[in-house]
Amino acid sequence: MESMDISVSEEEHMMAKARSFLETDCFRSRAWLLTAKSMFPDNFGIHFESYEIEKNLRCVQRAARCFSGLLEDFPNEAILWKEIENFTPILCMDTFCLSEEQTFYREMFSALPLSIQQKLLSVCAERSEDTMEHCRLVLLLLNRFPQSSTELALKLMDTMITAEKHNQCPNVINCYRKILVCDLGPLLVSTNTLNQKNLYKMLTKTTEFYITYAMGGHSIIIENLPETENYIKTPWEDLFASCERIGKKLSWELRYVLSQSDKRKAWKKVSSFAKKFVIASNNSELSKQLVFCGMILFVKHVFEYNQSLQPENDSEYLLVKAIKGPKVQINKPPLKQAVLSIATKLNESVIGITDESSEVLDHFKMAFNYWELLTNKEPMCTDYWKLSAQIKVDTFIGQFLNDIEFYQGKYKNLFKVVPSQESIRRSLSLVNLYYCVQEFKKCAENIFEVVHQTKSFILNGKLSMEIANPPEEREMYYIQIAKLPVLQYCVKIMIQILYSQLSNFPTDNDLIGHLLVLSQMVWPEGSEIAEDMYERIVKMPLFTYPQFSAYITNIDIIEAFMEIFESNDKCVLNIYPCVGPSLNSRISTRGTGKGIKEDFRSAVKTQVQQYSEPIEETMLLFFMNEKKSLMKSATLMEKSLTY
Amino acid sequence: MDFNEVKVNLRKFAFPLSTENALNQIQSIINGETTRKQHLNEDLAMDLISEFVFCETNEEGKPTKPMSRIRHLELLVMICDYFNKPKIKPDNDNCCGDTALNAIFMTLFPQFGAPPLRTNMLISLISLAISTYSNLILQSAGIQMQQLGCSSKYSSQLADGLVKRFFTFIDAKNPSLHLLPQNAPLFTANLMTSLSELYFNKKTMDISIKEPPRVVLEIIVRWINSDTRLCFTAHYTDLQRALPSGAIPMAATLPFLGLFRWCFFAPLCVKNNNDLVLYSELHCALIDSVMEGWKVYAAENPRVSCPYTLSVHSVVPQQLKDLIDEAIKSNDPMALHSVDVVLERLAQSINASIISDTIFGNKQDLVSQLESLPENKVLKLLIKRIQL
Repeated sequence: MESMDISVSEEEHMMAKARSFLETDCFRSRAWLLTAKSMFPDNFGIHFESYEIEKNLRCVQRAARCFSGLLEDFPNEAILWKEIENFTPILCMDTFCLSEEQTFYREMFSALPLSIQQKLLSVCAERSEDTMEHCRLVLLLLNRFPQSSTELALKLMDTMITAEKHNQCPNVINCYRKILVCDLGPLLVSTNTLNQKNLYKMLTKTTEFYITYAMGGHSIIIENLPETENYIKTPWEDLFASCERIGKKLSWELRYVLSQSDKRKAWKKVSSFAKKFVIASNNSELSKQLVFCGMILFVKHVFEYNQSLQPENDSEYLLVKAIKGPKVQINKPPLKQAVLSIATKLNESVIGITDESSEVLDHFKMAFNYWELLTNKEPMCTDYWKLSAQIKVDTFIGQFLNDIEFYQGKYKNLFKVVPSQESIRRSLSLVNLYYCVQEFKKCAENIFEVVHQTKSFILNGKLSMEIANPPEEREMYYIQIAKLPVLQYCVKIMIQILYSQLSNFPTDNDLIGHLLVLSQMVWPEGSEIAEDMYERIVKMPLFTYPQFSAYITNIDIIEAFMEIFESNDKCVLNIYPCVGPSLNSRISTRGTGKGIKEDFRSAVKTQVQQYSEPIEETMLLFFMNEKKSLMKSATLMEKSLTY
Repeated sequence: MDFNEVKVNLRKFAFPLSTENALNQIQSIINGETTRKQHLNEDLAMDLISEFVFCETNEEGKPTKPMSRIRHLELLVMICDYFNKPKIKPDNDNCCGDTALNAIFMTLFPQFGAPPLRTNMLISLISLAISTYSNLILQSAGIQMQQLGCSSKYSSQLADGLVKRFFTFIDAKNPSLHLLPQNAPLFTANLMTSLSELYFNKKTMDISIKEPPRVVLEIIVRWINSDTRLCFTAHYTDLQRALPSGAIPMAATLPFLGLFRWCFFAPLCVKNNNDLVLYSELHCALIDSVMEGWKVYAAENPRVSCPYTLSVHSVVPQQLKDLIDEAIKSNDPMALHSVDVVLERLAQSINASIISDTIFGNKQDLVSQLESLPENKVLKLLIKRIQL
């Protein structure tokens, strides 16, 4: 019956028995293991093997029991610690990317008695040499046993901050900071372990991290982290939540403004808080509170401003000077802008927008409000600059600061921030800036650049009243970067240039003709210009503008010319090259004149049919063909200003 | 109040009001002041029960014809509801139930003096209580079984009835059976003890050795695996406080001895391979429970005395020896293999019992018992260890 070799030890015999039934009857096998373990309680080999057998059978509960028994009875066995090292890293991994064995380890760990879990985690954390692993284990420990150790948590905070420094992370967006801010932060704050100084430290680190992340654009990948953790989906919301948490510990009254959905209400709350408490009391705690919350909201508004200025799938905007006119006195030398006097206060009616559908203007105004609040009054001002330097806020708000400078009329500074890459944005910025500094030649050059680029522009946009005829108090507006508004804007500048040239050459046929053409783009406001031109024309003996038929599609203008032709004998209109010797009409007999009249009428008729042609196509043609003549006017204009 | 007056008043109502009132009346009689003559009270309670609850006798005390099945069911539901009412005494554990209700249960279903049909009633009631999670009834039943002995006729009939009329009709995976150890641990433990006596037991002078239905085997394995301490419940339950004053708690019997016997007999008697695997699992669960269960409990409750899981004198019954001899004589390899398994289980069980120090009897007797068995390496090792 007994085939076993007698020389084999009793232990070996039992284990051999246990192994022999593994395949056929695992319970029989287990019964042997239980017996062997009870007979040889000091034999680590037997205990460890029965653990391994349960592990291979994937029996979580039994393996956990074996394992805790091992830890209790053989705490110093190297093999056991090897096994522990095998599975502790798994505890830090994500559940859904685990292999079957790893899942088993994880489940087994959860099945261990809590006291053993805690002990294991803290010992492993202590032993761990890798900073990231150490920190994950401590985090796990703190998460599972929040009461375990506040000292440990504080130490971890220091470890993370030091690790960031030691590893010379060039960027705020690094794995250590992410863990410090996203994982350790909430834990530390919730357990009351941080004193005020540390709370501020955490708050600064957190704010810096999230702001850098959010302002850096979406989906930055944080290096050295697993795929599921290496990005932040909602940085702003996370920042608000963190600040609210920390704010609560600091008993901040303002902490709720961050997540307030109504921006105006939030602003009201902040500004009244500033007026009521901070400015009056000069209390540094209150000021810090205001500056933290205010700065976060400020940067958020700048973020939204940037977004709406250059949205990904929508039309972009550019802040440009409003072109008044056409009859504008152009001063020489250019005045320091009147706007400067109101530079630190936002005058709402000074800025407009060509297309009401965008929120870019609202965002600018809100950001401006916060900017003004934070940078203009003590004690906030000092605190703001200190914090802003710490978090390097200026690096994220460049565009906003440029637009503030523009608002303040500091045009010269802005030439160096014009985008260097060839684009309509660049050309239009230059048109705008050269116009502002009254360098009309360069301005015109860039207008042709813009016109050239608009040809390939897909987005049409709409003609805007704001451009055609801005309200009196308007100094600047956001122009939608689309074919029509941009062209309209260029036309508006060109009109101004030509008009001022007209005062030097009041009978220049080309100037008058060009102005008539351009006036079509700003119709019906353009009718005023047209009327002026008609008056000039009827006083002349001869008006020659052979391009008339090519560029004039406006029915009112054509009608007006018809009328001039019909009723006015003094002026000869030489506008249709095809209408033969029109130049001789005055000296010809009535009979021959009749034939000319017929020809003129039929030419007008043909032209009326062009009425439906899109105005922008005509304008593009006009700019291309008349570049030389227009450039001449601009150059002359600039010269006339310098003398 | 005069006894007759009580009855006359109750007769004014019809079922179900009469029964409900009678139950309340019985409760006040049993749990009322004890200055009255106790036996008279008990007589009255018995009368009320047979006339108004189970309707076994009429006004004159003569037997009536059995109640209809519908009425039978209605009555069971009513008793269940009665026990499920808010507890009379708050904060009881889930083991012993409510003292007052226990007393009523004992009066409703006494060991002697009730007509045989009442046993049927009891089996139906317990089945209903298991299915409806009416834990207080089960707890009371658990106490009654222990008081009367788990191998008594009363308990055996109940266990057998439950198997035949309840377990065989439901699945072992039924959640109400799963949760039974949590809801009524004492009842579960005592039921296991009673069940363990029903099978592989020649005491009852049966012609052949009876094996338990598979469902019973399955559910017992599941119960033991769910809690290694479950089999010890009867030992550590303090019955005194659950009993009416003056009652003496009876000693606990544990299911180990009977269930181990199943494991020893099975290899030699059971032919179905699937069932044999279950016995292997049962054996493993039992030795685990013997070693681990008591260790865990004793660590938490150091002052509770040690129970006995095996007895030297009954661990190897003559019948088992006969079966072993028969198998060896047959010289059939299969039979010899089965003998190996039996000896292996014997050795392992006794070892478990020794390790946990819960074996009853003296060393020498045990050694001589073991030496009477065929030679086996593990047995030898065990004997060597016992003699050390």
